[in-house]
Amino acid sequence: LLAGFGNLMQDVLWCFGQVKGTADIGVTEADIISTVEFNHTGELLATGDKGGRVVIFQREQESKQQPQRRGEYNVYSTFQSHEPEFDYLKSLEIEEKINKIRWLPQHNAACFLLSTNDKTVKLWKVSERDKRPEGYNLKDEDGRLRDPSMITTLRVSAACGQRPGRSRCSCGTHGPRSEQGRRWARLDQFLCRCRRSIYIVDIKPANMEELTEVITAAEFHPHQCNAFVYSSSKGTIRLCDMRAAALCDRHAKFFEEPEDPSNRSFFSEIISSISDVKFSHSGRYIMTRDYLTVKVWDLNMENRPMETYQVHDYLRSKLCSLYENDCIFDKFECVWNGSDSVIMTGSYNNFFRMFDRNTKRDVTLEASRENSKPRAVLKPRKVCVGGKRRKDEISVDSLDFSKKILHTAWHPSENIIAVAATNNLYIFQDKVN
Amino acid sequence: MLGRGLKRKLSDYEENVAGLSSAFDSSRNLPYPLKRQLVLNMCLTKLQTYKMLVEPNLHRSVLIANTVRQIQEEMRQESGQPINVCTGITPSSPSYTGLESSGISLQLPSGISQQESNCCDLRSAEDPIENSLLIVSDDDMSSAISSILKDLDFVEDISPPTCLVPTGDDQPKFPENTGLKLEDDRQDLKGAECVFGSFEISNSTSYLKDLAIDDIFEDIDTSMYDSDFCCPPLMPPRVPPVAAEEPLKTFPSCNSSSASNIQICRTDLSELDHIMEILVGS
Repeated sequence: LLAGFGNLMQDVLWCFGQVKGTADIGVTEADIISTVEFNHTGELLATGDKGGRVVIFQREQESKQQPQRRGEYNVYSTFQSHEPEFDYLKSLEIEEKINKIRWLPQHNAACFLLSTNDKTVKLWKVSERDKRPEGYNLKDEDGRLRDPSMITTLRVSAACGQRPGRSRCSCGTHGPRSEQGRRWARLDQFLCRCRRSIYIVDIKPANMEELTEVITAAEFHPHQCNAFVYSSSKGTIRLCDMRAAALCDRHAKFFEEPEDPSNRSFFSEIISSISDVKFSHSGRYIMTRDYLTVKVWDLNMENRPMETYQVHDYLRSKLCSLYENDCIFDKFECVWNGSDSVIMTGSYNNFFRMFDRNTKRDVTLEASRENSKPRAVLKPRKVCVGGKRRKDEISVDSLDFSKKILHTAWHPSENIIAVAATNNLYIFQDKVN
Repeated sequence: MLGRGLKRKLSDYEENVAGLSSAFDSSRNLPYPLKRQLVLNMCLTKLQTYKMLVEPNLHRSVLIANTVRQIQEEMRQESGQPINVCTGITPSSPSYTGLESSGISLQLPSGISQQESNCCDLRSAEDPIENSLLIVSDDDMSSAISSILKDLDFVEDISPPTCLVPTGDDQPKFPENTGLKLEDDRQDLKGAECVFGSFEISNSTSYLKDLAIDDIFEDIDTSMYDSDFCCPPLMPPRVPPVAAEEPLKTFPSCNSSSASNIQICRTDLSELDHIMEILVGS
């Protein structure tokens, strides 16, 4: 029985596990983590950053001597996935930022992952060399043994024989994800396109001046390889079936919640724009994230979501300021736990939130260096909305909007989560009794 | 690019706007038309800023354009006719002419006239909130949105770039569909439902087991990684301040990256030579 799997959220105490990245105050833009993804077994954890690098962490084997120390994640491989490009024709720089990483299911010793920036999807094979250096620093070039006390520098060999896979030059603002390997969707803001560059969906109007809606996210169904969903900037989700037609202009299902007139404001449309869409592991539900809420939809019910969770409703009265400083355009992601019973998403001030779908309870936790003592239990945080602020609560005006948690990942079968806070990656896990 | 005077005035403007946004959020006393005008101004300023960016963000531009349209529509319905240019700028704001030259024609009359207007009722020049509002015409807004979206069309045009990062071979690999244009694709699609016939559509979750992804990598030569001395000697990584961290970012990238950098430089140099030859006419 895997520890923690399927537990009710209130029974779970989240503890600090590890943090990766520097504690320096000045953050290099290139080090900002832009995507986090566990592989299908949870043994590997990949991050991509704005500098176009991919770092893969591998979980260490658990040791019987220290059962309370769950396997730690340590660096397995680092490589430069994408470089900045310059499109001379349009005088445009193409960012090297990694927008998404997706793992392919593993079938042999090598692992494969897809990484994408704004323009290019790449397939990578990560495998280990057969040869392992022995006595690497203790022998010189001629093979003679060195005196250890004379060694002043250490050399490290290339840890893994990773090589770039063949670049597929079909680009996307969102990376591809497909259980079916060969077919991965390229998505940009107009259209989705398959590997052979067929447009699956194209919502670009003939006259660009009529453009009022863009595609914001897309994902293939985890089991039905012909089905995918895509979300829009108007808060709608469409489910499409590629068997129906070559161009999926007509959706099979259309999900939209009627607007609540009491909440109407100038910013209603902006905050309804969906920043992430994720199928549940079961494939029966989809979860969407817009600026203030997370919603769970039943695939069989198109006219409204099954569940709506308020992530940070206290921001509703601050929308103009958040529009002014562009925070209102922040694209938060959302994730399911392995059993689809708990959902998680990020917020500001390095807070992240979890919602238990069964008990309807929620918790706010913080990823910070102050809580980074080994196995320290994370204390739930609370934002004070008005009136008297209790001790340990934080008022809305004190929130740090530059510290945003946009990217998180949940281990496929255990209560281990990876939370990206700017340039730091936090790994939390539940307390082992 | 921007003159210092203009920069200072713009940052003053930005400060005003920041103050206004908080006023918008916290005050219940701001009249609705004023709030609406504030939002409209913010939208237009943003659209204008995006226009100056090398690569404007389509998603944001569309959302902001929609907000502008929504406000426009509301104002139109209230007034029953297109809104005319009205006043609101103090005479001593020559800095705003800088905005005119950047493509969005905001009509900014100097001086305060007593012209009847359908928008907010601005009175005294002493009121700082009202004085920092820009009021524009309906037509100007539409043309501003149109010009921005048209520019985005050019930016978003899909033409696959040639790969700059070399693969295992020496030659750069070209994408399978070089040169396909949007219109061509549409033509292909119209009569080409059968194109999906070439996809192996299957409900089987074991689809991937049949797939030999490894084959793609067969031609890549990894023999250089078999040598123990392939890497030049590295400096020991900088010791991180906290023992629990790992200096992952100080870990220099592998040979593949430096090799590709060199390759890119070489390409650039030879291109430069070629261009020089043409220019010199040799």
